[in-house]
Amino acid sequence: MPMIETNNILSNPTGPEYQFLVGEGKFRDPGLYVLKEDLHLATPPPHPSEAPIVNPNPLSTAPQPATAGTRLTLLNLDVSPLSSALYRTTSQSEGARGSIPEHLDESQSSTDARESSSDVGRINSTEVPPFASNAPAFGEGNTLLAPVAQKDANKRRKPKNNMTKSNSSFISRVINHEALSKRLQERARDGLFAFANVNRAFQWLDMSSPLKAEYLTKILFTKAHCLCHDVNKVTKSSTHIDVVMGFSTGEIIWWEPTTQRYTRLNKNGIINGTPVSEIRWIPGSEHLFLAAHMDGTMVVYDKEKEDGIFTPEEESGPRTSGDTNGTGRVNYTSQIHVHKSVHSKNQKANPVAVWKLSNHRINAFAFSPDNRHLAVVSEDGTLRILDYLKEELLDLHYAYYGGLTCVCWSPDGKYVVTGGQDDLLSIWCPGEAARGGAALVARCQGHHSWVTSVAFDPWRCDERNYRFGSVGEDRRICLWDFSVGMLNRPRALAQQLEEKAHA
Amino acid sequence: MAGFFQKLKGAGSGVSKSDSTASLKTKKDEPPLDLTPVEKLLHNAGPVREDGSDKFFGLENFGNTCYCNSIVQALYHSEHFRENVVNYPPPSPWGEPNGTERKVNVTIRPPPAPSAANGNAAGPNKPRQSFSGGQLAPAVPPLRPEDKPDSPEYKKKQAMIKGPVLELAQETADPSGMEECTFTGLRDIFTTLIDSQSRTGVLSPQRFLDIFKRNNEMFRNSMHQDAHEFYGIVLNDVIANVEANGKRMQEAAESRRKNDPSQPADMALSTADAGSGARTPGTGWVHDIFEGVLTSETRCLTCETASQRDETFLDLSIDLEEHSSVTSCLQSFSAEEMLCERNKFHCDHCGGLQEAEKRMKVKKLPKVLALHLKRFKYTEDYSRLQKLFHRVVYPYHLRMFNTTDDAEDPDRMYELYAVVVHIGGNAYHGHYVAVIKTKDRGWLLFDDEMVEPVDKNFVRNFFGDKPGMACAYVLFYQETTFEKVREELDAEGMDEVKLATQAADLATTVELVNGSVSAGTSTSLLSKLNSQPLPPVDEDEKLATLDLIKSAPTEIDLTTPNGHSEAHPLVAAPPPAPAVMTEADKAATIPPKTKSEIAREKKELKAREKADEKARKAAEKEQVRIAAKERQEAVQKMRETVRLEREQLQKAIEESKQMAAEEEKRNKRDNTTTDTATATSSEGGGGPGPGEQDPSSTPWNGFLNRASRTSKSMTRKSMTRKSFAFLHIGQNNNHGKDDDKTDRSETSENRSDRGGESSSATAGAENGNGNGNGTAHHHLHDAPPPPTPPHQNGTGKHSHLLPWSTPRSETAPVAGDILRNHDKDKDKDKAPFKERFSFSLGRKKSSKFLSQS
Repeated sequence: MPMIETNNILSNPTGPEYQFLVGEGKFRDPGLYVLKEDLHLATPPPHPSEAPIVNPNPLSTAPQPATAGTRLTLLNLDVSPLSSALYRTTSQSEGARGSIPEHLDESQSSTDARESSSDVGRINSTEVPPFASNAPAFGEGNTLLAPVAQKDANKRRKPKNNMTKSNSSFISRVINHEALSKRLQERARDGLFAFANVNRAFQWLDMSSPLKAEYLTKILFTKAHCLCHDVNKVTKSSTHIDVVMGFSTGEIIWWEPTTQRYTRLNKNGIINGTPVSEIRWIPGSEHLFLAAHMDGTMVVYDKEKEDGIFTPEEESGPRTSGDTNGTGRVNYTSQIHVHKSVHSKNQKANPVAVWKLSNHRINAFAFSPDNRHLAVVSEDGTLRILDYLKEELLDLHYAYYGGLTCVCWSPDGKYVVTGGQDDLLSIWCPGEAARGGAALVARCQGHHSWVTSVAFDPWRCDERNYRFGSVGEDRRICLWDFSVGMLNRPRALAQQLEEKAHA
Repeated sequence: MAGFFQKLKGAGSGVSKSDSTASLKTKKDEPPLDLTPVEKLLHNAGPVREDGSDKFFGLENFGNTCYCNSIVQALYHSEHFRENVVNYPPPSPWGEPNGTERKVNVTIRPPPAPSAANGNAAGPNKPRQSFSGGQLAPAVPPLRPEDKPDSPEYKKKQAMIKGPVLELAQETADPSGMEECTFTGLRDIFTTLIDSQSRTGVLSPQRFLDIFKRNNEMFRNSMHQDAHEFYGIVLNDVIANVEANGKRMQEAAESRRKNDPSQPADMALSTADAGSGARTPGTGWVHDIFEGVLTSETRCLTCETASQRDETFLDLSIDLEEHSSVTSCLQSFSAEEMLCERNKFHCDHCGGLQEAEKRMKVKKLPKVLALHLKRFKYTEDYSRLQKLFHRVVYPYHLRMFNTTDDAEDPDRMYELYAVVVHIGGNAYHGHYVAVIKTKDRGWLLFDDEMVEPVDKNFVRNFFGDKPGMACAYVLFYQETTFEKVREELDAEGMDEVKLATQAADLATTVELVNGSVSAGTSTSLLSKLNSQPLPPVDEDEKLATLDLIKSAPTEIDLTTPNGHSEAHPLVAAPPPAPAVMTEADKAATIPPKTKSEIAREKKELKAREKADEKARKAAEKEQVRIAAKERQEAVQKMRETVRLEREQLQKAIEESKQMAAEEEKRNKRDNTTTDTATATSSEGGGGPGPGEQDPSSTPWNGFLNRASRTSKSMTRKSMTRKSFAFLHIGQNNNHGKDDDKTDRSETSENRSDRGGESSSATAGAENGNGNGNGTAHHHLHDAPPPPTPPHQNGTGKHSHLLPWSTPRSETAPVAGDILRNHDKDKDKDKAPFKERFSFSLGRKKSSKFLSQS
């Protein structure tokens, strides 16, 4: 059970147990990772009206609310979204996310490396990308989805409702820092913002401030737990930040922190009533985001559209019913089921598109850096690679055993790494199977429990070498290196990994 | 149509009575009681099966016999085992002794009159444990735990009242001539269940316990016993019984052949050298199912001679680390250990005690893999067994990493099918229940007399860190295949959906709940038991009605449109459907009183909160309802295929909705008061119940005694070490010198039984458990890379890997190498972790991932 607190705690622990040396072996210089600051985010107490979580009967079959621990997103306003000629490595860097707040140290060190981001850009631009770099926008060709030309490009549309003055019973409290506007004005422009959801709380923090432990804004929801969130990299500016949050009730909130306005989508779960396990803005889109619901459905929403009543559309009708091959069972292994296509002519209201991937909970998904593919991992132990622009299933891979819990792409889009309940990190080379190779590149053993999150270190990746980090329920962080040459010549392959038992 | 409407009302208004009576009409001789969730589950089950896979009986508790009940349930629901047990002994070819059908001596206990039942429905022997609600004397006298409809006690009582109670109390003569023994006792239970015409009920396994206690002195009391120990003894008994019988039959056959009937059959028994010799025919099945083989490789560090030694096991006892997974614990089980200091290895080659390196791997995997999580650990401080509440996660599926290179099918897939859960604060108290995956009815909770369907995620409540002190204690994994797993996962998604929806409901705000308008009682509903899987409905018609009933009150209508636009109602079960169904299930099945059990102060606070909330709620509700209605109309227009019947339904729903709303309000008021009243009685539940033994007095002696006894009785089977939790638990603790001594003495005791090597293994195995003691040595001997890593020869073959359908081969090539560890030169203070860790990366992997091509 997590401790229940109200205040974030910032500490600066020192000593050998708070650092670890990454023995870089023959490839890299050794590096010392030092824990600079340990920011412990408060876990909010349950709302007074909420049913008690502690049930004295351990065998009680009463359902427990879905929780997803802590999720963190970092945002740097200063890094402009890269032109489409480049990979969107920024999304990787800014999306760095630890499932445990202590792992902020990971992101801390990332800031040091920010100056090298131009370096990454260079690498990427010199390398001939395997995919066409100009990926079409999602839903391109459907004129109904074409963005409405805005009179003033700098003036973005804000959500409808005022959060601080809201009397919605969905939101319990909104607490702004007393000097919020002053802090926003005075902060360094290139500083990092952090957004974090912890159970029913959502926090907005300024990591560049000496007062970083004091949130800029904290929202407490009444009962719904915020399970995931994402920040739009395209629309961000000092006056506008688009945040979407997904809730255990299936609802979604679009929130704009600078003006404290919000809009509720999928209200009362009208489109899909199951919890949102992962939510992400569609790369390059100002309006559209993709939410994974726990019934195995992925839904594309438009932040500015009203909720509509959703009924699977006719065009997909034959496909869905046709697959119930006599056994009454739908076959999800060969394709995804498009309940509503992005090319549908009915785009007056949400949802924009609905895809049914399986009956099992989707645990996570990630967009490929070239914005063409989508990797989706699920509780049934599958990794699906989708061409989400064409709404097609490309690949289907399986965990060694147990469910897969997290997924990410290498910054160049060549590899996908998944972590799961088999305690393994699996490295995949999507599309390789089609080319006659093996999709599975490696299984990496090192965690002592289920893996909860994984991310590449874009500053430690080049054309041949990759580093990624993973965290797990064993409270460890593991760093992994692999290199292309090694992968191709297995005999010579070496991989180092370091780990640090968490303090 | 009238009946149909009645049903509809029942569903809408939350009165479970009318609903169940309506459906009861289809059953004839059932008393007009509410259907239990299990019965609902089995409602349309069709004819009774012959293999017993559709029997879900509770087992009567005779006072602290839950250790037996949970294990027997787990054994019964192992298909392999059940089949073999009831078919043994096979009809003899001579047809002589088995000519008559075996008949188990069952009596059906008359159900107690409901009024009289109040006092002692639970059975003759009363001192039974109640773990929830227990020890704090109820502040409100009239409310006993068994009076609360949601309490396990109440449900158990109901199960006894409902019956049928099959009593196995008398001796059953076995026509095949087997002596009455543990095996026959077990077989009689199984046969009785299979032969029963009812699918549910309670079985009273009295005879089995009598027999068992007769043979096992230490269980001859009413104290809390160790379920895992019980499991080991039962299996050993079964093996012994079956082998003895096989001998006897063989002997009989021989003598018959020799035409020399004068030779007494049991001569052979007494001269038995059976243990080592070839198994008698027909007895191999017990071994086939549960028995695996461990190989311990010991390498003398002086002469580098490696020796191997096999031993069989019936289960693996694994040490637990905090925040780990079963996978990881299994790996530590097989991690290399040092045999040194007082625990040196006697090397035959260089003669004398030497330091050595040893590791255990699985050479043969059993069909049913029982994993005993060593939750009970002897602590010097308290000089008693303490329970470890480490969080240890276990996946639904498992593959073993620690197999030898020559193991057969080392990559086989296991699925979790049973979890025996220990609830309680220490080894001397508590309660056992079993959570079992049945063949085609999902997961069920077996809590003595009570059987209740649970959803798949319920299984994950026992990782060990949750409040309530319920931890998985024995995990049963059974062999399966990748294809079967895939098939099952594809089929079962519905449960997941339902679960997610429930979670959503729980966390939902008031207005959200009221998305499902009338039935939405928000808080009062939320705390309720509500997890039975979807009732499997066979008839199309049923489904259609269900669909309508369920989805209608929500007004949201995500699913119904579906159902109607499709030609066939069955097709209409798209995943969202169950979501809505559960909503209404709640309304239909939940008794009006809620029992959210929290402390009183909290309750009062909540009550106040609730009152405030309610006002808002009402307004909110109204709004939502209006909005929903509008939406509904829109949908209606959209759909032109809606039939006339649907409109009728709508009306009915409106009605029932209103009824429900009113009723709900009333209920809620009631609840608030009852909650406050009952809160105190349930305070601090989870502790030992009042009927339990004094923890401090006898038990430890008991365990000591038992120790000597068991080591004697178990020598026959080599499972001793692995299964013998209570003796070895203490050895984990290497901190205290004294403790260490104890370890040694205990192990030496074993040594006398089983020879020096395995005993040292024992200590060594415990050694490796995470403290620097053992790991420093790891480091030492880790440095020269193991001489055997076969990466290279293996990898060459794997240039073409098969696609995803064959996961084993995927794992092959690089994995072994990629994980090779290069961190020799790390900072030393991390050494313990790292070395152990690196080890697991180095050798183990190589053997593991290098598959046969």
